[in-house]
Amino acid sequence: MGGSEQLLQTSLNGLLLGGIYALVAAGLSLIFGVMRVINFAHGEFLMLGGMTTYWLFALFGISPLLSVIVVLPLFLLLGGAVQQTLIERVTDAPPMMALLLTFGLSFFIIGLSQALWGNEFRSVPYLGGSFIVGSLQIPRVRVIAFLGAALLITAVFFFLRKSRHGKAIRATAQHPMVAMACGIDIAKVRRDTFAIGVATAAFAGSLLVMITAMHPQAGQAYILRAFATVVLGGLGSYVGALLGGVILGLVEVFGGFYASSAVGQASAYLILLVILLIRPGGLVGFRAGT
Amino acid sequence: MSEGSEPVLRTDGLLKRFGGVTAVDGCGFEVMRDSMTGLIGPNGSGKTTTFDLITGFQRPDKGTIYFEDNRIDGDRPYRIARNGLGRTFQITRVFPQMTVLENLLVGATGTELRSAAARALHLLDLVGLSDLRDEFCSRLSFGQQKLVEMARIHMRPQKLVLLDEPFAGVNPTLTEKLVAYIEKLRGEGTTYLIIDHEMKLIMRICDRILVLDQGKLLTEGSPEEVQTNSQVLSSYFGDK
Amino acid sequence: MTMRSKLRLGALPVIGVAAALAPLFLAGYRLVFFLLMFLHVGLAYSWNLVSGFTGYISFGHVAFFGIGAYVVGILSGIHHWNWLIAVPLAGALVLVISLPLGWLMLRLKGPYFAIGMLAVAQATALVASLWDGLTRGGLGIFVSSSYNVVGVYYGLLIVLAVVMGVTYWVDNSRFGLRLLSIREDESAAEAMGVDTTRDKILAFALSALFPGLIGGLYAWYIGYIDPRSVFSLFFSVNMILMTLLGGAGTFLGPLIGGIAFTFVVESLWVRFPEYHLMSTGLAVIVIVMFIPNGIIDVLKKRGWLTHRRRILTRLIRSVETTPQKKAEVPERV
Repeated sequence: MGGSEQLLQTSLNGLLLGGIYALVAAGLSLIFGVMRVINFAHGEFLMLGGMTTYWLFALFGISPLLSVIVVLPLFLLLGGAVQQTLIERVTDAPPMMALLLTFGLSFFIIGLSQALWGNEFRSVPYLGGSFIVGSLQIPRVRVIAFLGAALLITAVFFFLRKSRHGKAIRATAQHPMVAMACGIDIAKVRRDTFAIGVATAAFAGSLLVMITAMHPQAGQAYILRAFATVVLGGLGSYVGALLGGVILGLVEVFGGFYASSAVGQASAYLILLVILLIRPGGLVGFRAGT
Repeated sequence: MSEGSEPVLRTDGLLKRFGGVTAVDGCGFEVMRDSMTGLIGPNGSGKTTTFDLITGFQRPDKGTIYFEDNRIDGDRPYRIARNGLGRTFQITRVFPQMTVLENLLVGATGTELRSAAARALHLLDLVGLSDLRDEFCSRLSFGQQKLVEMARIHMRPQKLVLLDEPFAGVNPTLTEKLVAYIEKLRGEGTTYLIIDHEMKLIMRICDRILVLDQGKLLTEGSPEEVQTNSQVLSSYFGDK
Repeated sequence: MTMRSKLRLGALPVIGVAAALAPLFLAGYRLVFFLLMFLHVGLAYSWNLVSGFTGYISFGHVAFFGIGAYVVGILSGIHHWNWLIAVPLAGALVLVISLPLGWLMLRLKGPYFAIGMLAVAQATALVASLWDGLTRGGLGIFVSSSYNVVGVYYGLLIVLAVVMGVTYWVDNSRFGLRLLSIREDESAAEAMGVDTTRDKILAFALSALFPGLIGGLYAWYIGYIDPRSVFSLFFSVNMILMTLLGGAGTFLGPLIGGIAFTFVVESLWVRFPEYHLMSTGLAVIVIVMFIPNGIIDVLKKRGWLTHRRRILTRLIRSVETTPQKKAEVPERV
């Protein structure tokens, strides 16, 4: 394999991985855009999605691609319920309270998963083999996962653009008071936004469990990745999250290939820190007036 | 206008752009020592941005600001504040989870503590909040919070105080109380620059008026001069 | 009210003396129990200094603990330095690191700072595992084979006494009021003349120093360290949990939270370790939802504790006893 082919292969791997990161980040970004809350438990919902897919496969032999039919509605419900019972109640509290709440929630979910399933690594062996294009090898499962992520990203995008409810969500993100004055039930919007965000994370987990092993603490690696992604793309921006996801995917894969796997893993932290340090004022600065 | 007639604040050619919007566009004016100056203009004319530029919360793209003899544009806000140039914000911004007295003491940062405490008790007496000095500000009414903010800004010897809509949403009784309070503290040698939309009130209490329109100084003069100025009338009332 | 709070705080030095004499009477697990209590309470106090008072919630304070542990691990474990020298050096190094780090990180606000600090902690852990020439990487370091409980006990007691003293001073000083004003409304504080940058960095450095020292003592106590154990996120979580439980931004909050936490950990979680993490998370959720300002706040609301700082009581008394000075205009210093 020549250098340029290697480059192409690595880029392709990064792109395929980045698609899934984009999905994870899009959910996080959507929730932040509407609720001004960083869902610190986002990675844990991803892990739970992966675990659900795993158990459906292990216990009932349900194919991961079919288990999506269960995972999406299940986590829409779970996300809505979590928002209603927990996060909605701190809506009026200082903003850091919601972050601390999801921080606690994340450890609760990790602990619960450990108590239920132990610390074993679990994965779903599915769709082995690769597509061969010229000298490129593209693992089939990664292509399927990428397509799944792209499909859901597109679906959510059009839901936000075209549907009545999606427009209500965007209106709330832009100006909650005005949205409320226009007769939008913003409490309901918050619930549904959180539900969608959680469902996208869980769906990403379902896709990832086909590629990489899941365990109760697996989600932790993804919250920093997701946060790095949204910071790259601009917090609260859905399209930015997609771009950020692809960039992070590429950086990780290239870093892993050309430096070391540790550098690949670290790239999320490094990107996060570098961006935050370069542009702290651009993200949040003094707001004197208004 | 008062004797002396020397400016305590002088701005020249101030320019501030936010993206494509020019909020302040070559604005220059002077505020005379010991005056009560009103800064008026339609919404979006750049009044609050001008305040932000003067107090260091925004950095001007161009132009200079002199406070007494010191050039202060680009200084950090706390430095400007410590030099005796205070400000309030459009929305009342007390520290809610701190007591009234604690709020006031923060206002005297950089001064000697014991005399600051004495000053605080004196000011609380003046605004009638002595009984509430150990109460958390979050438990106070809107009007009481306004008074706390007004007392807090006077905790240090101020040469110039910028008040951003101090009377917005305030009932007539409280307005009179605030005005009386300001008049009283004016005697201590403080100059005021006030943004407000209560025209009658501004014309009554100020001795000089600056009119901003689209980020520029439209005109200035005594209340009588400004009220009869046709440009002001058209910018304010004409197209509204 | 004042009488009662005076009694309560007056009891602290007495408890301190009792704690200093305890190793004469206690041994084995009983002494270790108190050693762990000092460790937990000390960490809670440290976190409280920056996150409680300024409201800059850090998710990554374990970084300082871990660095402190590694300094002692490397100096004492590998190079056989006396731990009495290594531990203060650990504190000094962390302090030196914390100043530029604080300057960089504290420009971030709210969740950016919280998660940024988490990334710092993860990155530090990664450095510890990659830089194996210095740290022996994932192999870890055997720090000491002697099991010096009494020495570590006294070390932690001293650190705890100092961090409590510092917190008491902060809580009763204008520096503390300035930190609280930053928590409440940073730009309003700046408009009041508070040098928010300097005060935040100072609080951050104080808040980093003590975990550095405690981490160093912990390394000496536990005898073996590796990146996973001393950079474990659970140290960060526990600091947050204890402080929130007692009451963030208060003097007694971390003490109450830390003691309660130690009893629960040592009585329940040791027996049911599989539920440790789950109940930690649950506890954070319950506190945030029902007592966001901690136990201290509940006590204050019931009137069992006064919320007036002692400094203010003293000040008011001193001003009111000399009424002729009442109206004087403050002088600048």
